[in-house]
Amino acid sequence: MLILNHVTKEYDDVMVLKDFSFSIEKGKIYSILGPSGCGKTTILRLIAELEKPDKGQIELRGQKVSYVFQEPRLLPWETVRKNLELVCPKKESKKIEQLLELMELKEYSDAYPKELSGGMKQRVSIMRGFLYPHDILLMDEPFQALDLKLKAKLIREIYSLHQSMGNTILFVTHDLDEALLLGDEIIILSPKPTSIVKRFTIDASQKERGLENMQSIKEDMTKILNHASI
Amino acid sequence: MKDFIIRNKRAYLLISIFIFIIIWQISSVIVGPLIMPSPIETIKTLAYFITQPDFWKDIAISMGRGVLGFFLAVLIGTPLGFWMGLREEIEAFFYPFLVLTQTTPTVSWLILGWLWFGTGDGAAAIFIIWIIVIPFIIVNVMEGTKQLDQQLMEMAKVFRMPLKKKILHFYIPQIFPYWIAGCSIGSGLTWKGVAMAELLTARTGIGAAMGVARINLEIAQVIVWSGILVLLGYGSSILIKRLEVVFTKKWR
Ligand SMILES: Nc1ncnc2c1ncn2[C@@H]1O[C@H](COP(=O)(O)OP(=O)(O)O)[C@@H](O)[C@H]1O
Ligand SMILES: [Mg+2]
Repeated sequence: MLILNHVTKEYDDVMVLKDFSFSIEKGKIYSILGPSGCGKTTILRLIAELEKPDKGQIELRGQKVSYVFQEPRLLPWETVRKNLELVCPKKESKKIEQLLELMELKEYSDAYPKELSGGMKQRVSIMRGFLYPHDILLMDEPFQALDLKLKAKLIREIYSLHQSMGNTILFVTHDLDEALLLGDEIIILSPKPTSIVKRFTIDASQKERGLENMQSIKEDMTKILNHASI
Repeated sequence: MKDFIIRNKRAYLLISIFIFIIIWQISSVIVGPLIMPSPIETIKTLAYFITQPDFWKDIAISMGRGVLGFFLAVLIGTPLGFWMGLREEIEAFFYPFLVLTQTTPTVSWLILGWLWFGTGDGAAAIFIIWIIVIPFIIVNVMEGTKQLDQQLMEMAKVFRMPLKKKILHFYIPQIFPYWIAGCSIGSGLTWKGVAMAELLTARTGIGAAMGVARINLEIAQVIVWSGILVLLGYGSSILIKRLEVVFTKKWR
């Protein structure tokens, strides 16, 4: 299923996307890797309809999009719980409580964002992304401010949430391990104007056996990444 | 220590008022009570006034006009400033109106209001207050709207916030500080403007009463009325400050 169809996007004089096409399958997780400034955020913003393409089409086919921004973007004057409730069309108190527990933020549900650390805010933002009813979830470097242990836990939780929801996830990162742990498919992008250098499929059995069993793929990818960023 | 400073502050305030009254008394002795009535005489005038129903009626009438003119300015200025802040073409369209209201001297509005509305029931005074206050509401709300956090507004867009949620949780908390600053300036101008407008364009209200006092050379009355206007101005500025404190606590 095509989502970006021959899209061109330019900022002032900077060509970020040139005749870029990208297809995805429903219900899969895509890890998008690429050098800084290559246009990863731009791709997500186009899909979220925050930017218009100069040429080409974004083909959502009625699918609803949710977004975990690169920054937390919480309302400073609302509590954590209220920030989450705001994106729910119906009352979802039970679901919110469950998620707060999962994210280890239960004691902070009545706190204001300024009382939270960067990593906590990021987790609230991830929760909000999952709470908003959607078919496609966009996540832009969501684990930035998190320590390794919590990150590993979150990746597992996100994976199981995804399995129960069946949503499609586009996950932007610059961390190879993260990409491998979460993605069903890894997409490697070149510097701008960006193009897809390579797509790797990771099958479920590989993922279950953990990072140690993905060394050869990892080496391949490292080579391509190093090559791509030159 | 802090307690001492606070008590000290109050002491300075009292000393200041005391010195003011002394200077008032001395100048009254020097230039004569006909030109500068003494504080005692002024208080006597006030004491007489408060027994007169007309005194209270004039205050009520002026307050009514002031509040009405002010609220009409807020009522129209707030959505207009918001719309102008959101869209550049709307700003361009109303820009001449804004510049006109900002730069036309008050005396022009006084004369025009008088010519257009006559010296009847105070419509001229309400119009004059409205047109003096409205540019400050517009400019402040417009500025606040332009300063909206674009990252948060994008977030609202992505999560398809319904209009009601957007107004309550995105627009009002962000624009409120600018809006209240505009209201604060506007309320000050209201009480200065109301007497001036009534002096020329009305037969009732504080300004009209001051006009009569002027003709009769009742300087004590002029001072009493001025004191009433000061109280109105000070009272409304305190009221607005309260409002500001209550809501910024909520939204910060
Ligand atoms: N609003 C903008 N105006 C001008 N240039 C922009 C804008 N947004 C992004 N760019 C440029 O487009 C390129 C891609 O940006 P982005 O998609 O944010 O990259 P990434 O997320 O991969 O780091 C960068 O070179 C950036 O400087
Ligand atoms: Mg980015």
